[in-house]
Amino acid sequence: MDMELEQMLRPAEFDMPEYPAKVITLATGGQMVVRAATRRDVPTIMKAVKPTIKIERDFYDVVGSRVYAELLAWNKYRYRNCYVLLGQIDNILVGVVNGRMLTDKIGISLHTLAIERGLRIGAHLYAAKMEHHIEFLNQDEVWITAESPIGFRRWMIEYDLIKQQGVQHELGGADSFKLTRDLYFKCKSRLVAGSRPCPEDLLEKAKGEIIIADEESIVTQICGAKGAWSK
Amino acid sequence: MRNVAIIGVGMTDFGRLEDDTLMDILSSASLHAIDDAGIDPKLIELVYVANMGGGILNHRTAIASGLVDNIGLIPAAADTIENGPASGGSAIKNGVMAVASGYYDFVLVVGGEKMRDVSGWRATDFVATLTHPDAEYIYGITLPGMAGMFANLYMEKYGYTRRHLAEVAIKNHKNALMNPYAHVQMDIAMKGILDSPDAAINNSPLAEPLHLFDSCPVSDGGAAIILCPEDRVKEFNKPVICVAGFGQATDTLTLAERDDPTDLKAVTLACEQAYKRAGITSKDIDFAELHDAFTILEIAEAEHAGLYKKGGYKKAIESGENKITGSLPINPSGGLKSRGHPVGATGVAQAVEVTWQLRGEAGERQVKNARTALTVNFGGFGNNVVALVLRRGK
Amino acid sequence: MKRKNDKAYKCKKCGRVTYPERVVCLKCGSREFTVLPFTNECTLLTFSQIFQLPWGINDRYLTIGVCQFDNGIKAMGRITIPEVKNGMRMKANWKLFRQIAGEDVWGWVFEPIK
Ligand SMILES: CC(C)(COP(=O)(O)OP(=O)(O)OC[C@H]1O[C@@H](n2cnc3c(N)ncnc32)[C@H](O)[C@@H]1OP(=O)(O)O)[C@@H](O)C(=O)NCCC(=O)NCCS
Ligand SMILES: [Zn+2]
Repeated sequence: MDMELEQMLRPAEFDMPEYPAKVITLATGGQMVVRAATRRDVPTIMKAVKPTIKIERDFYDVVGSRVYAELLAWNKYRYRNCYVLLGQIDNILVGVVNGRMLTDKIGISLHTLAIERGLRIGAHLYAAKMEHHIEFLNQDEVWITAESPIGFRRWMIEYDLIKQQGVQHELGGADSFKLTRDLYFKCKSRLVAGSRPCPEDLLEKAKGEIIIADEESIVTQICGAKGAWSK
Repeated sequence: MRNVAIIGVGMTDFGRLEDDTLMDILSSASLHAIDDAGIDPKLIELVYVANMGGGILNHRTAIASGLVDNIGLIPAAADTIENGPASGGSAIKNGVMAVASGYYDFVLVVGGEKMRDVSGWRATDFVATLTHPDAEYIYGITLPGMAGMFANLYMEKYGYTRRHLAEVAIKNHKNALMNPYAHVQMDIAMKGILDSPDAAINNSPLAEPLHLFDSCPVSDGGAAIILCPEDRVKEFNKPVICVAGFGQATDTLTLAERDDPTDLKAVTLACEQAYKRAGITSKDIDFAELHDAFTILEIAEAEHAGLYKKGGYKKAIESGENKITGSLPINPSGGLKSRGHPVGATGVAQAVEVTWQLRGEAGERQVKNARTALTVNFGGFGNNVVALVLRRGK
Repeated sequence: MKRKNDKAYKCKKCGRVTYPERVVCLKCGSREFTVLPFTNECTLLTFSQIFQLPWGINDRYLTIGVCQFDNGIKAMGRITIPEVKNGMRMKANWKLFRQIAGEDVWGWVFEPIK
């Protein structure tokens, strides 16, 4: 690689405080570790995201491809800043969310991808992302746009997001919404779960090994293998 | 009048059946029942299709005509029966009357719903159309909301807590883990839905005092049975499972107009009629499939069906006698809570489950030594209820 | 569209109160009614704070309940705040509170009397 040229392509990264890991008790009684991913984790995460790229249900294909590309871009130093949070149950990767800082004060929510359905994984991780922007990155607002209907109406309503008429989110879609500090603290107690610190052993295990389900089980988990003629 | 038996049963998976149309769902369930009975389809002279939302959700009407065409039952008589979430029970009742009267010998009753064609918000709106249009619907009331108002009073009056409701949900989720047809297959725990700080977020309020895990999901799915006169069962290689009795009763359309809104009179009446026609009392019931669209309804129906006195289901919850291994198992299938609730299919699915149980074909979730079972299919918010008593043997 | 929710009735023969309107008395079968005016105040019988609302409503939650007017009429309506209790005294307001498919909808909005 021509590192001189590469240096020009790589933006100067600015430091971001790391998201402090937490642990959430799920409806099953099981525990999900939510933690910041490192660049080292990216190739493994990409393996888990890949099967979602061809799932049409709920626009997993759009979100999955975008997340895949964003992970790649982060890994290859094409973001001036970017973070990725992971949800792991018994080390198994069950969800990925990411975002970045547009400016010091404005955060960008990129995507939310839940690889397991029915346990509110997406909702918990989405909340963790808002928590990160407001509480740890200390930003004033987060800009959000929806590319799939699942998050759309629920999140707009649950967080009482403010519509920004004519303001483009960097994903380029429909009018964006924003979450302000004020709104965040108003809804924090009903939406943001988890406790800190995440027990050391649990966190070490989660960091030590990200287990990826095989492609078929990921697809089954998201789509359900069921059909009217399956029995 | 003739005794009526069930010689074939079948179901589709319940859940989100992404690639299937309403007609696929009804057809698959029907063929499963036909194959289970091993009947020559030409013998089927009458078809009742239970469906609530074809017109609204799937933009399709005259569904029974579509079904007989699709599965080759022409020129059988065919009708669609719509009675809200009790459509399935109503269709079975009509099938039973058709056979009992002697007009028809072989009747296919199939229920199905395809609710996931629309978003959750539209599905909520669709279900709410069964409320009074001018005195309830306009306010934005939902079915969970009706159940919430009911639970508010019922829990206060009879001393139920959210923990009792959660116990019902946990039991039904566990039962559904043993039911390969069930929509929700998730082993929930008290810690995760009630006892940890995170539980409040996992199990967010739906219609106070009811929370997410007090509710059935929105499902696609179908179920079917084949009815015939009891004296013709011997032509098929099947045990005799009889519809020993049915009952149906109505109540005021609005919840507000009932003298005592905690009194589900239609449930009591429907069950009493069914017991009387079967020549039994509530004491003879070995297990039941109740309409637990909301956990509070499993409790209230068990009590209004006379299986327990008012407030008495607490005892069953606390002792665990309502579990599959208990003395009076309730909802061994997982109930609407976890098997799912494709509205038109539910009443038929209850009869399918009971038939499997009475035949001893329920696998891991088999109830031991059961001979007589009750189903309650609860339409509207308790304003149109169908109860069935099914029995092994005559 | 005319919504049949603005009047309550009393059976001319047996006195049973009917709301919303119906054409035959549930108690005695009579078909004759007189209009029964609503009272200004009522008592809350039951309610629920309801989430996951239908299409067409963008609120995070609504509080909906059933009240009994002082002359016996019982009606569902919206409640202004979720912090209420069964048995509470309420003021009954007849209000334009939403539109459905572009049409104004009037109905009951109950407000706790402090
Ligand atoms: C409770 C309710 C609002 C939850 O809706 P939701 O949060 O939008 O749920 P989603 O559709 O996002 O479901 C996501 C997953 O959660 C799970 N889930 C949904 N509802 C559930 C419930 N009530 N209990 C357990 N799990 C549930 C399912 O696994 C579902 O996966 P699927 O999409 O493969 O089916 C909805 O299920 C509902 O409205 N239920 C009541 C239906 C009703 O009133 N029926 C008529 C009664 S007579
Ligand atoms: Zn009268």
